[in-house]
Amino acid sequence: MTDTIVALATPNSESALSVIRVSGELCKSLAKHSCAVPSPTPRHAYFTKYTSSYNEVVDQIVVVFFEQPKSFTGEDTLEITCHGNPIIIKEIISDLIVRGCRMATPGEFSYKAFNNGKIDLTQAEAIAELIGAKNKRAISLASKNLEGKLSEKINLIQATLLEQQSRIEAFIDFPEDDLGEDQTDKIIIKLQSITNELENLIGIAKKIDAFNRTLKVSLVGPPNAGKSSLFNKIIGSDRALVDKVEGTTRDYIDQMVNLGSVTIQLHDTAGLRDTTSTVEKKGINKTKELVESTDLVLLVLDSSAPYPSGIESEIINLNEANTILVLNKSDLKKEISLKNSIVQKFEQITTSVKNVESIELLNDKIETFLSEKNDIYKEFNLFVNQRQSKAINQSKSSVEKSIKHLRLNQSIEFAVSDLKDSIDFLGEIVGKKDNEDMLDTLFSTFCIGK
Amino acid sequence: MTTSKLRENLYDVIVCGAGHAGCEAALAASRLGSKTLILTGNLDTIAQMSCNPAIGGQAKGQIVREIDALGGEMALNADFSAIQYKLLNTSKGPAVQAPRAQCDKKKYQLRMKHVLEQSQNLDIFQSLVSGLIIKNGKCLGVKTSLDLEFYANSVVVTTGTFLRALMHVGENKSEGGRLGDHTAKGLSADFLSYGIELGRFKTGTPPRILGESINFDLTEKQYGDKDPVKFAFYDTRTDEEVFHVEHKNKFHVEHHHGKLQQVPCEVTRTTTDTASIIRDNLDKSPLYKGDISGTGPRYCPSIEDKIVKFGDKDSHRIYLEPEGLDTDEWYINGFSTSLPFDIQYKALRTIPGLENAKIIRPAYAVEYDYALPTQLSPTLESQKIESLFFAGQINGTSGYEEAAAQGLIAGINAHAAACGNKQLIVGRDVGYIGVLIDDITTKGVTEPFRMFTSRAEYRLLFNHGSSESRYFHLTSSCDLLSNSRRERISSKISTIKYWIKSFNNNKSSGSKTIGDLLRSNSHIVFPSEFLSTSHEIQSEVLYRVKYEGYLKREINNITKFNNIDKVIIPKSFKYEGLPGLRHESIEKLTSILPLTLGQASRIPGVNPSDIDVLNVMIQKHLSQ
Repeated sequence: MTDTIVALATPNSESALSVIRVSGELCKSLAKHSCAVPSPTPRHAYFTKYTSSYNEVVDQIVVVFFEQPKSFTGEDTLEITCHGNPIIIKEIISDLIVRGCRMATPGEFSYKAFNNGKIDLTQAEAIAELIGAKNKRAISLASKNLEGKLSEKINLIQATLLEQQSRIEAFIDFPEDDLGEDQTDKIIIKLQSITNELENLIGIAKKIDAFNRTLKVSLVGPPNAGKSSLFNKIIGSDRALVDKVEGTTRDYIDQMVNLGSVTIQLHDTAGLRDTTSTVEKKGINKTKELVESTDLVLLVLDSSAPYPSGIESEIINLNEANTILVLNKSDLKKEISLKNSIVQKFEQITTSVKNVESIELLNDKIETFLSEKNDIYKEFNLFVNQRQSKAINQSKSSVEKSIKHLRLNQSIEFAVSDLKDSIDFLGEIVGKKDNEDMLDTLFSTFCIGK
Repeated sequence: MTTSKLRENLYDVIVCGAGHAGCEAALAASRLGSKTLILTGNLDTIAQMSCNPAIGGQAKGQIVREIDALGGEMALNADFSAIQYKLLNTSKGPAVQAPRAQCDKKKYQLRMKHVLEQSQNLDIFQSLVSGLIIKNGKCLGVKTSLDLEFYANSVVVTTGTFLRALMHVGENKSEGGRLGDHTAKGLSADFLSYGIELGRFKTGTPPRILGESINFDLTEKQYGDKDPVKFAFYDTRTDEEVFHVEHKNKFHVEHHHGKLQQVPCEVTRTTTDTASIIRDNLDKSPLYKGDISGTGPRYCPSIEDKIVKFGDKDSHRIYLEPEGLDTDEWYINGFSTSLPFDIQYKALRTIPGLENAKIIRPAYAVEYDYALPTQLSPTLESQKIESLFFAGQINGTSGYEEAAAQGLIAGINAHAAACGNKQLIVGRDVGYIGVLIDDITTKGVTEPFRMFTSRAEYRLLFNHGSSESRYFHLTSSCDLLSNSRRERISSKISTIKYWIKSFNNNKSSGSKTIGDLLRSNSHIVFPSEFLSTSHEIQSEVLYRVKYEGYLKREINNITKFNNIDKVIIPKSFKYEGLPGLRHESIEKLTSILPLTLGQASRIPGVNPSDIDVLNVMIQKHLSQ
């Protein structure tokens, strides 16, 4: 008998409802004894009461029973929806444990689903990606993988590789059979197209990885332009110290902010200026490093002051493709003149921390700017993570080796060794193909019978 | 009346059946010193080649050489009756080259019969086995058709396709495991009553025709090799050992070592007319009508299967093979069928060269019971009944060589069981025999099982020439080799090792070793000492050095495999109720009862995660 596992499926906090999930052989008996549903019809919602082993009613609940194998885990499963109170949740889970369940380890439900062949590894990973996705696009790609898009693709490539292997095996194992003339060239062409496909998948992984780190947005500008005030407004709290004395922000501070479809890491920086203070100097150097790795620079200037001197040498390195000029303090009288300055080339926006609308406009601008620039997800309909990409890369180099063997017209059995490796590496992504699969392909493709 | 008064009926080992498996089993057991009895339904069909008149071929040729390395008889027997040799895959590397020989069927049989007759410790008796004698889960002996009973410490069953055998020619059905032969009727029921599970397979054989009726002007000749590669290893045998039967009884030896007269095979093709005749008469094929329920081999499809499943090919190759030197009977390779005789006849005559072919034996399909090989341990002993061994086609395999290999191992282990010695298990890393037995006992069979090189994950190491080196470590415990041969093999291995080391380490020209030069296909001047070693040694050394990188990879894989295969699952270990194992896995593990964790990992449906769980549980079990 396998363990019956239990876990809370929703956050452990006060909320309208919470869902407790149970998977394993005890589910039927739990439905009967705890939920007063003696023989539940699968996938029917029952409005009932949860009664503990001490015969106390804990809560009114809705319980749904999923009968194996038609459940997420492939085992009998119960979903108990109770009221979202941590005390109720704790009581129900403790009671389930008293009745013989065990607390699930992280990811154990998905692991069971994987183990019971309900989902493959890419789908299990997609669940994690889906939960952790940082933006809408990433969510849609992760759900594509959950549907099995990546597995489909990998399975297809594996099948093609297997077919080529079986072609070669047929020549080895049935040398006197009538298998057509030398097909090496055809096999090589197929294998080359596979390396291209694998390369594409690796490319997706690279781009996604580049985008998947949270996007960096940095506020830079001369001292006292109001960077920290803007920072506080954008993140919506008073985290950064704000003071009129120049150089308040000596190091830089950062905060994750969700702006609609993108999640950014907003950095406040020390003001750009010549300084003699060593602490501040350090901060300024750090700012320069940060700007280099930043996805979007918000160059903040005080519009109520004359154009600051001595910053040109700093901002000359800013790239117009990822810089927005923010003319701050628009509530005050405009003094700044941008004539003949290099900042003219940047896109501009006017803000005032006293004008909420202007801050919202700024937020929108940041979101549009980042999502347009980084909308690589439009190109793809699936998701490749780093682990998968590594396996794909290994597979690709094995395919290349086998092409080399076929090209050099070396004995073809060595090409098979490499092809088997390439199939195995892809197997790490979706699951193993074994010799029987190869023989099935072989016998369905060739008429063999000398 | 019982026979105990008529003949001595107490043996160490009894072998039931004298086909390719039975002969090897009986010879192995008797040569190892067991008092052995071999029972056959018909003395005239000992070592009969029921299908094609050839031994060896891809993967099979390697098996025959492995049998020779362990001390079996098949290789010598094939060499003594060969009428054409061909090394297959010569354009490919040594690992996948395989020797094959067309054999004179009658000569093959007669020599093997003679070997049995001359063997010490071995009795031959013609009598059909009708049942087993089982007491307390142990096999004590067998009953035969004349109500005779024979007792032994161990029994090997090698009854081939004779269990509930049913032959089909069109709608005509007759009982029998081979045209003109009987069927072993009661045995199936007897096995079932002891809880041995049976399955049903089908196989077929083509018609035989008279050579005189073939128009050889329309067929293409296929000649044997000028320099034949034989099956047996001769550089490690004395003449006395080579001619062990022949010398003793002046049995004719004319073509061995002397000039071998090779005869060609012939090649022709089916035509569109052949296809249309077969297509038009599919409704008369028991295979397509549903009369045959047994599963047939996909690698050896009947001609009706070829025409239906591969309809895009308008022609299929047909090989004509002579059945012997003293007969004009020819075997039509590639034309196995269960169609009615008149259709066979009509279809055959559409093939160029066969327009006037006279069929002298019709083609037929045969359905038979086999015993699920997953019920066996890798020693080939039944896991349900002690001291009972199974080998050959009864285990769901096909092929003379596959049968002989199992017979040899079953014979060795039946002897070991009879004297209470440790039984022999050939690992997958040793050779094709190991792969064969591990595959059938672990994965089971879904169609008649034939060996392919692609079934062996370490194929590159299993070149036929290395068989003696690979099996040598096993020959110390099952002593089928003479001392002189063991010594010679041992020194051969040392010589090979010496040259491999020398070529890899000693600089030849400038900074390069001979190994470097070999791997870069450069011109090499070999030391004269090396050139004076045997051809076998030279090719072995060159192969091991040249492909060192690839071979090393396989050796590394073997090391990994050995780690998990070293974990022995104790007999007392119970799978039922183990937490973390799925039901499906528990069922599979309980039915296969793997001996090692490695074997468990190869059971289809057992996941890597199950193996992790098992590993932990076994360690826990051992520490208790």
